[in-house]
Amino acid sequence: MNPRSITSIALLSLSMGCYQGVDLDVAPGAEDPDTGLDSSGSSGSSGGEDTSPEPEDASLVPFAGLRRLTAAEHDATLRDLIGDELGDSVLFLPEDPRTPFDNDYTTQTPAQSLISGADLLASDAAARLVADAPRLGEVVGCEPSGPDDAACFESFVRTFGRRAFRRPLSEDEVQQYMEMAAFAVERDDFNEGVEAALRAMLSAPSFLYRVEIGEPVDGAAGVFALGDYEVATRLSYFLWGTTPSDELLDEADAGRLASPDGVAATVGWMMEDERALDRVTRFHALWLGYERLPGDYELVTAMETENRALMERVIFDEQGPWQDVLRLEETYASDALAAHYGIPLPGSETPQWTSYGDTGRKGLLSGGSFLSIGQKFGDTSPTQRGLLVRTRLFCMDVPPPAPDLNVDVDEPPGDPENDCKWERYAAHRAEGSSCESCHALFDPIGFGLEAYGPLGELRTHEPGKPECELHTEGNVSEAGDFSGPGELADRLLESGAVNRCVSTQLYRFAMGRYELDDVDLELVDILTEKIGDEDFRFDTLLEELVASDAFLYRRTKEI
Amino acid sequence: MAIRVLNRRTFLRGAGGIAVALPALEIMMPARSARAGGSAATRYLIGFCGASTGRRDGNYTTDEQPTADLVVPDALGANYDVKRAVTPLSDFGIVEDVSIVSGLHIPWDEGSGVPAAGRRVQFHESALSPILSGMRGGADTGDNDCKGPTSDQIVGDAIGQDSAHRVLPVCVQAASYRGSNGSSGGANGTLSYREDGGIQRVSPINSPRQLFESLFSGFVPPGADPAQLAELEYQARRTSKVVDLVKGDADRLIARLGGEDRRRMERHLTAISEFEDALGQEGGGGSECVLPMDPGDDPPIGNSTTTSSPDEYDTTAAWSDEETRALRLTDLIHMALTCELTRSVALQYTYAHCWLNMFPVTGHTNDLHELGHSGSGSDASPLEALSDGIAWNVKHWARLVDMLKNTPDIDGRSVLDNTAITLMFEGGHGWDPEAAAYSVHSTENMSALIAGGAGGLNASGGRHIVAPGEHPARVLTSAMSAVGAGDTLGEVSGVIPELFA
Repeated sequence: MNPRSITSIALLSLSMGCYQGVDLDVAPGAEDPDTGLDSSGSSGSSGGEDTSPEPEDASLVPFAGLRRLTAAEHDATLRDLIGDELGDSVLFLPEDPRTPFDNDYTTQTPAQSLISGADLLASDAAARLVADAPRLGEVVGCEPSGPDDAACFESFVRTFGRRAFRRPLSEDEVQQYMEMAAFAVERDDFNEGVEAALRAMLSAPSFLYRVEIGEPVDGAAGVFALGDYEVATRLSYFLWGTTPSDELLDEADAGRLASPDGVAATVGWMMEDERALDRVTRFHALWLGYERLPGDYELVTAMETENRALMERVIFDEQGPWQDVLRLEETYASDALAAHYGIPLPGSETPQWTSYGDTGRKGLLSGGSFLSIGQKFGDTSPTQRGLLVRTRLFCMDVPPPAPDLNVDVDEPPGDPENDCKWERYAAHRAEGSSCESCHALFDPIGFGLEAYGPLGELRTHEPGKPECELHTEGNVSEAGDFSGPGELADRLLESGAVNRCVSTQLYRFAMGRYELDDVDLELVDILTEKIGDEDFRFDTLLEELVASDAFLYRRTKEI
Repeated sequence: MAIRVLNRRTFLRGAGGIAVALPALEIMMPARSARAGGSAATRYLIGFCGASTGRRDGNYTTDEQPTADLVVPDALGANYDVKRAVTPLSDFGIVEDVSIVSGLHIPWDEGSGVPAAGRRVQFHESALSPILSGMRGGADTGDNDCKGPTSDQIVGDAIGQDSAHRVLPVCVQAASYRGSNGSSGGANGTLSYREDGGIQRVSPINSPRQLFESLFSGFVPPGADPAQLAELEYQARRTSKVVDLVKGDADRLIARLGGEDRRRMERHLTAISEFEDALGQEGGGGSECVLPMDPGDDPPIGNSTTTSSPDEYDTTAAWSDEETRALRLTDLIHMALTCELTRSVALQYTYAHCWLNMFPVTGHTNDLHELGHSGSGSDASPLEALSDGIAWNVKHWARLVDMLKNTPDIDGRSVLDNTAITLMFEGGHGWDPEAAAYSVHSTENMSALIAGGAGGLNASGGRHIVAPGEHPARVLTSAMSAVGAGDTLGEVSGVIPELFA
């Protein structure tokens, strides 16, 4: 990947103090004699102003709740904390519902199964680490002189605790984890204590949850300014999907996340990390519903590589308009994938950038990943594809069907033995029918993609029915006719609806909840105004979001 | 071989990083083998299969054929004929132990709102709340959560407070397998709900390894020598210290958090306490309580699928070796019930609206849901194929019944004799108000299986009982009543008298 830089950042005006984060042992208003932090975690060491943090408009601070690490975040966090690559959190943590994102905290409910699963993951990870001397040495960070080397143990507790809890430990916490050193003495093995402390920290709520407390904002009940460590954690999980690095925690410690300028500068170097590309790629996959691709392993791998390359080129390397994700006329394919798509072969067994040619394809909507979604009755479903375009790309709220309508049918419409699909779906489009109002929104979009099969392969007729020729003519009711996925992308972009939809989906992803209230919707409006209704850069959208009050403040929800 | 259990409450006396000074044998507790008067504990288990029991048995383009199932016997009473979907009952020789209750019915919204203990018209997952909690379900698609506490929780509150696990929710199916389109991992994978400032989902354990660790990590292997005992004592003490620190962290956060966050952390702390309680209690159940085999690592989680055509179906996806998982989980649950580590189990074999690949266990190239719709890709008729999918659920339930039947309890009866164990299905077949036709999407003609002899249940042995129009939750209230947990579940109350005749 090429080095990346972020330029021309438009920042929201914002006044932030220098609150740093959670200090769990200090009474409100008091100063911790051990750390020098006051109850809000402010150190006074930063360059921030010594005033109460204050959002631009406190009425526009959204709710934010306690978020547990998802299985994917848990895996990535263990990887980055202790170099554990096993990635088996999905075996033991409750399944993360996709709404469509996997991080909707409103779906997370603690249960005993979570506790036992987290404990198992923690004890396994700790045991693997202790059995791996090089990794262990890096994590402990000092060479113990013996099993009772309290100084080394304390150094480990402080250093690792800060990384695991994403904030410095209080003195009380340090002393409690120091008690694990007794196991080292008892077993005459320094690592026994380390393993016990690791297990305890990796099972602790401060690790499993992204804890945000913040500093109360004067005159705004229930509104809190996030501390630097809390901002660092939000940034890290939003942009990287994982725990903050030492470098990012240092930024927090130095108070450099106390202002929008500081946040923006931090985003700049964070976006240069490979994990940002992974995160952006995953956001699009979750958003558009192709996170879990079905099909042959090699084909799926080729498509995943294709998607990642598209994001890397448009958003990171070229830093071009996000719209190019939908309208790039090349894709990253090997001969095998190109042959699958029926596009010009690049002449290589490894992926190369190659033209889509005149196959009606452009950008992300033309790949097998997007086209793999929305199947029914063993074939593509024009209705399901159209519904997905409406709900995910137009962000249309499609109401549930009327109770007297049967939408979950056993069989394809019409007479599948004798009629072609277009004719079979005709009843849905019949003027005045109870189906028409919704199917008129969905089916004409889906039929414009019918010449592209369930995995994106080009086809000329329905499977097993040479008499049923497939066409590429489709229609978006408010945007006009199109032919194939390339022109569908053009119509979407011309419709003017996509920019707000991207803002909406990214906002949901950032806030960790699907349902949006009036404040959220107004914030999405503001975000959309910032990027305008023409071409915009995705990194600009990211920066606008993270430098906004929505990201740097929180409102508690009372019960 | 009888085993004994480490009592970690004893270890707690030595917690704090200081070695317990007691000799190993002094910290061992005998198994809880002597209930007052030699009476055995009653146990409860609700099993769940996420499929309807019947469908039209023909090409899906022919509307004229009526629906049918291969669950309900033709004969009434004892010695009933065994249909294809419940063949495992005869395979395991437990027909005389299992009653089939048929003719059950869940009402639906006929235009004036969802009726008591009823469901909305759109079928999928709409029956979960009325079946599992006896409460009318949500009116909108997507609102599929139970609206009241489920039977396992009510039973756990009534009789399981002293158990290591008040309630044990477990799920065989490892994932939803259709995760990317906004329809996974929610209500369809949840069988247990509790009242805790609102009705809360209680996530199950899906992992055999996790279940083993949760249930048996404190058990002493047969023939353990003093060194092994000392090691177990050390590990238990270390675990206890870990839990202390985890609880301390939660306590500190609760003191700082407000509103919903505080409530969430309080729930987390409650869950930690339940975890700790489970660690600190010994089992019982007499000489049959033995340490089961460590199941080892879990099978990996399989990929998802999207297609629904038998011709196109990926027979390697949507499968995490649920066959092995079911065997392992059943072994562990059998011993958990035998040892009285729990008295209330919620065992979900398959998700509601189930997309588990049925090819590995039935040879039919589709998932369980689509066997109710698109067909099988085999020579079996559509109804036969669906029934084979149901039979896989029944097989593992029947295996558990058989194991309980063959396990003596401390009162000289079998564990099954002291248990009420049910198998519920998501739907029946018949009139589908959504389609205005007869289909698989129906809560008419529902059936349930119930075994065990707790509280006089199945006093006359396994029978086929027709209960026309009865709510399926009354099978559960009957089972609840049998174990001493009352006979009310949400908006449903009373028992099916024939089950006790």
